[in-house]
Amino acid sequence: MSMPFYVAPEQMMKDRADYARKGIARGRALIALQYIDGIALIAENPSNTLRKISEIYDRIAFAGVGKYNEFDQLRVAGVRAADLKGYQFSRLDVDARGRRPWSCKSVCTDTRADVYTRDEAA
Amino acid sequence: MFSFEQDPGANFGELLKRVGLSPFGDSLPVNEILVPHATTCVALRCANGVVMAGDRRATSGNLISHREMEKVVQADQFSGVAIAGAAGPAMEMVKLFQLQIEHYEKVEGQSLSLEGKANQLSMFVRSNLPAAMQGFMVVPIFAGFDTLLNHGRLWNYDATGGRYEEHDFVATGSGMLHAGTVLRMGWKRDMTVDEGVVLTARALWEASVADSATGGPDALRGIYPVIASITSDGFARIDDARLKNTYDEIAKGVGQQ
Repeated sequence: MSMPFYVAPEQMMKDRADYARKGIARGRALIALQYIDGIALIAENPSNTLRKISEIYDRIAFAGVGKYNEFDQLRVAGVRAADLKGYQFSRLDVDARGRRPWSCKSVCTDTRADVYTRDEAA
Repeated sequence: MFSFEQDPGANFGELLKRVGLSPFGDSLPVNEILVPHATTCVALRCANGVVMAGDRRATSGNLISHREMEKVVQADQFSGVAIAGAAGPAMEMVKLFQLQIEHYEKVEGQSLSLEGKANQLSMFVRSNLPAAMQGFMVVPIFAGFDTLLNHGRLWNYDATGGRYEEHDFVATGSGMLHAGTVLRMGWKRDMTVDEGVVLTARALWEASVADSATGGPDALRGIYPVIASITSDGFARIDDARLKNTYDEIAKGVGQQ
């Protein structure tokens, strides 16, 4: 039976976050900025097939760099949460704020937390 | 001859019912609930797209339950759905269909082809079949501008989800016979959108004259059918002021004014 070395949970989380940050640092630049009428998202994208910026809902957009399948997973989770909430209630009730169970941000945050902290051995 | 529970006793009317000879219809089965029904919708193909039209009346039995129902609904930028049948399930189906198209486009990063959308709607109609068997039938028309083929296309459906592409025109709902006849008489190849608008307006007029469940133009309340064109410029609803003029002309032509 193998005996793994003890690694403090804080250290493990820091290592994972550093690992993710290094991966993201290699990604191409992405800018999100607020202006008087709204928000602009600008990304450098050399690919014809992969998309970095996409629509989540009427007034919610998503942009990401890093490992494609991971930020795409976030994007799809956001689209699903927004569409489900809009269907169940009203388009006006869908927003990107808050920690309510159905909000897009909540789903994205949970999914992102999952991506960061997933136990690879599980 | 009869079991204890089934024995009609001295009631002759009940006896007739038991042996299947009752001159009066059986009472309504519990599953036949009167719900608002939407009626006549038409669509036709013209030179640079399609025109869709639907009257505004919803009925529950012999009562008018709604005067301003909108049965022609935009599905996305280049397509629309017109619905006839039980209003509740129909509106729910349209809502789900609009969301499906939008959801697909967002998740996949590109929109469904027009044919793909027609197929998707067919699946929704098929899934409604158990409800249709209980009287809540939904029969839509799907029409749109095919950006790949660069022309308008029309689809007709049946309650089982059968999907039939029509080349010239299509009518559905209780006034389909009258409206369809007007379209058959007036349709010609390469009509302009304006001619299509006048012809569909006339088709709904004739259906409303002969079919009590189809509403005609209501000048008193300012309620006119919903008529929309779908071309390479997208879905555009014809405004009521223009429809008022169109119906004024039709009324003059048939000597009603």
